[in-house]
Amino acid sequence: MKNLRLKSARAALDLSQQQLADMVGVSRQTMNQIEKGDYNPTIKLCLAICRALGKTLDELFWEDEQA
Amino acid sequence: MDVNVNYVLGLFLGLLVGFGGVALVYTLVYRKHGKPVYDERQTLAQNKAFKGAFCTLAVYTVAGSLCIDMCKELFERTMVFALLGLLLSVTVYAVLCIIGDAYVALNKNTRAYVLLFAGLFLVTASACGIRWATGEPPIKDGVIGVMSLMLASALMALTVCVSLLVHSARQARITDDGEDGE
Repeated sequence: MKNLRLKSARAALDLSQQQLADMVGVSRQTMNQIEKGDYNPTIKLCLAICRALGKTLDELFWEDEQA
Repeated sequence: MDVNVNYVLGLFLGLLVGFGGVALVYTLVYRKHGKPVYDERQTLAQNKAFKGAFCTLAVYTVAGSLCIDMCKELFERTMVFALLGLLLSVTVYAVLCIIGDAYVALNKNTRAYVLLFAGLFLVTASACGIRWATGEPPIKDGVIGVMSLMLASALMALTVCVSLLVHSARQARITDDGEDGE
């Protein structure tokens, strides 16, 4: 399942996937796969992404109630 | 058992030069860029690639064992069969890593790898060509000889080089919205 909240949080800060990937220390492909829902990051990486975007884990990675 | 001393010495010298060359390249590269860094997804992809390479080698070895009489006639020496299997599994590992975007480290340049493998292909293909022209073909009288290892090395380098180029071109097309902007 695509992570649209992550994508919109990244877009809100006007960051490209490459820029966000560089900030958290992963490859662009990894960031792309996280947004597409093809890869489940570890909690460590999730926290790094949250810190980079200034969001909480719930805001970016918790499952939707409706889903 | 008669042992050709020159053959054994040549083998050890070749291994020494090979390992020495790799150590030299690693020292030069590490000094400039530091140790290769892979992220967690790349590490997982490498593990899967290793599994694929191991299965390839296992199937190759089992197939060879089942056809051992045919292999004895087909291969000049047992070592040729074994080393061809190793080259095949290494190629499978490299290609699977490239497909999983786990071959080139975060702090490394794809271009450097392409140039390295292109150079390796040119050197080994040229050497193989020269040997072939002077009467030492990879396959002689239906027997796969030691020269086939040189040809296999050239093909391995070419496969990795082409895979890197194709993967790199494909990655350049992917936008932040997905492949081809979907």
